[in-house]
Amino acid sequence: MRLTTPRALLVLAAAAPCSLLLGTQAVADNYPSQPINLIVGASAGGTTDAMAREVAEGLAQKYDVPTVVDNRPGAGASIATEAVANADPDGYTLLVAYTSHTLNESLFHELPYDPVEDFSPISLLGEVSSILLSRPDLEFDSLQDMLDYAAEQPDGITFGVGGLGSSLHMETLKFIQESEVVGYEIPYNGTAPAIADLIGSHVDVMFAPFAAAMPLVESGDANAIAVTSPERMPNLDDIPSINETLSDYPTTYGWFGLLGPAGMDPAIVERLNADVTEIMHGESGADLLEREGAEPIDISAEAFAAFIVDDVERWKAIAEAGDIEKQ
Amino acid sequence: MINAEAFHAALSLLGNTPAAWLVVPPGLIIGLFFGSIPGLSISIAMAVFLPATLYMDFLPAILFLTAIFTGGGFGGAIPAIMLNIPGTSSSVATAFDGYPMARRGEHAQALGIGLVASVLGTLVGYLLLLFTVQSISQWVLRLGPTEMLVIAIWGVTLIAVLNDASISKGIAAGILGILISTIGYSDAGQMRGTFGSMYLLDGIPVIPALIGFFAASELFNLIGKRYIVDDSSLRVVSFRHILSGMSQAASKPFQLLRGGSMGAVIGAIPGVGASIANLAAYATAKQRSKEPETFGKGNPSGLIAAESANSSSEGGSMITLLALGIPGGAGTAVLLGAFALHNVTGGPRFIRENPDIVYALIIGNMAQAILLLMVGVGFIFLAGYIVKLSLKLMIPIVMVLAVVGSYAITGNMVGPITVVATGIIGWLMRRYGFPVAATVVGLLVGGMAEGELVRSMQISGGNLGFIADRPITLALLALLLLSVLPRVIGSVFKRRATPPPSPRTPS
Repeated sequence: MRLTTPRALLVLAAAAPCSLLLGTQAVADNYPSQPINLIVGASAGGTTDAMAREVAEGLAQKYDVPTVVDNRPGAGASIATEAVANADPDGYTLLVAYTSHTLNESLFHELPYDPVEDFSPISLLGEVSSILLSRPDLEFDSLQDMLDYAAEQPDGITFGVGGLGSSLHMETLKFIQESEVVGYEIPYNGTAPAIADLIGSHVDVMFAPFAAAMPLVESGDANAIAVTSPERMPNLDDIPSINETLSDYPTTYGWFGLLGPAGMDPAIVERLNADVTEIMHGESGADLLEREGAEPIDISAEAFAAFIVDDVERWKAIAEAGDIEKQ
Repeated sequence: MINAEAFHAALSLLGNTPAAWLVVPPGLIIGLFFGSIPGLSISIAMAVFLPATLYMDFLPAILFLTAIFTGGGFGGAIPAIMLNIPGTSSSVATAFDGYPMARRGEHAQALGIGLVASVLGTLVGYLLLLFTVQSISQWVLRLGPTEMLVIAIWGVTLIAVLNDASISKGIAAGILGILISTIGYSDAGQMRGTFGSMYLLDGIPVIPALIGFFAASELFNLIGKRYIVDDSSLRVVSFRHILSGMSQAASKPFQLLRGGSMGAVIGAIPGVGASIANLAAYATAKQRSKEPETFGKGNPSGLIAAESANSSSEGGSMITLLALGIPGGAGTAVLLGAFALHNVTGGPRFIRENPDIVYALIIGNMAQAILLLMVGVGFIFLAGYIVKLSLKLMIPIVMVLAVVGSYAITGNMVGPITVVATGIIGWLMRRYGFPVAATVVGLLVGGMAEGELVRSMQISGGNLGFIADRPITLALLALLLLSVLPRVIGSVFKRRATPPPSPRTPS
């Protein structure tokens, strides 16, 4: 009797790694066998939410399991991000992240998570660029024209900023740093009020997201000066890119991506990466991206992970050069 | 003014689209339902039903969503009147006089007044939109940060008008609201009053705070009572009372017109919109009244002003949406999403190229208002049964709804915690005679005033001479001084002449 217990334990101990191994194999094969929760750090109705719903619908069709979009807006998506960082890495709780994921590190002292270490990057859904607009009564033939105009103004020019701590804010900072123009940031709570003050000629210029900028440019309520992408945008090829005037202008993108908690099974990550890429290349996924001035992307999970590491550093450099004080 | 050709095209467009009419009544009912449940909001309803419009044509899709908007606009009046719970910031002033009327047993009349004021307010708002959609957008655009700052400061002065307690208590309550509005990430990029918590980064959520200050504190007050209406003989639900309220409202066309036009104009200012429109219209009605002391005690005129203004501000907010493609609030933001779903972009170009669709939307919305009159009568008849419900049952039901609903609004525990915390603060304030309405106004306009101040400082480079070049700012400033100074001087003289009034709270 006294011997049997340890022996049983020994047998169990020997079997454990084996069953664990079998377990993971079985998990990857059976995935997904229960509903998938997509947590989004933005409210229903916006672009990030639209991306999440596209992915959710596609996954639900492919896997035949319910896929739920769980909106948890707040604190620049860090509330949603923290929830996913602390979730089980079983592939059933995923994060639809946007630029704030890599940017928040440069804005806040105490983020409750590490944007790199705490996550298993799965798939980059899309990269978006912005457009530098000027108010309707300021027409420039080129970016150089605008820089010359700014240099003539005794008090410099004003930049509308659609949301402090947003990627558009960082783009503004970067542009002021690189072009050495005298510019003052006028902060707004979001893009819509900033645009209203631009077309009302209360601010001189602003960086606006493609989807919001296009109708204004088409109707003549604002003038497009340049795009932030390294090359001209395919559906907007008469607008130059900034680096045609400012060579070596560092490129940053706004982006949307799918991530899971750190420690996810690589087989599941790979499978999700392939399926999500397919979804975004599908008709409705590509349509959605086109509305935001983007195109479907096909990169591996490893490449996405490298992108995130680089992006954190890119924003850090801009924030430090722009004297952004961490809060 | 009106493009006659497009107007006729719009009429035939509406006549040839029966689907557009079939979706309106369900939209109204959905709106009434979501609007009347504290914690559920119109924008939630619109977001939930947005995907359903994918299978509709553009016009029916938008009419369906605006029907939810219109229905919800009035739906919000029901809990404000019956339970003193303004479910949205746009029905805050509705509760001021609506709820005292309900407590007196005039709930059916109050609901009838609210319905007629809402319907006529919506009509006034869209009528103004019909005539001005081409030109008003340019006017709205001329309001920049300095003009908005003056408007926000004017909003802060509403605290004084809405204050029925002593001046010092009113100021203290208003400052409390302004202080609460500073919590979170400021417009200047500083973090304040968050105690390091990420959950407070976006500040105190306004709607849960409203529900707490008004509703939860009132529910605490009601503990110990058995019914909302003390007199059992008045606890009746009668069509006759509803109709008498409706005719009472209809007999005051001037007040309806004044509230309606104020709502439409203020509603057109992006960002301010409906939340200030109802307060401003209420304050004006109170100042112009021969018996301002009866306001806050169940004066039907206050209810008429508030409801006509918040309904017409819907038309006002549609101005900025259609003419500029800029959403003034959460509801119009969802509409903008619906535009995008159907590959339509609002803005000057849309108005220029599709005047028939724009007119069809406006006319369709006016027809909706009239349908609301019919659907609404049935709905408020059912809602009237709340007076028959024992408070022992109702207080817990409403508290649970308010807390759960506020979770739906914020998506995290900040909402429910805010409801409970502001509920306790509000209850203490009422107990000691501080006006909660002043705190709520401070909360609503404090953050706005600060943001506009930061922007004004940045744009002007801190140079006060900047506003000399802004005639609209100067004109608004002059109007502000003209409206405030006589009251200040007047009250100084009055205080010398009469003993201070005994403190009491509105609503």
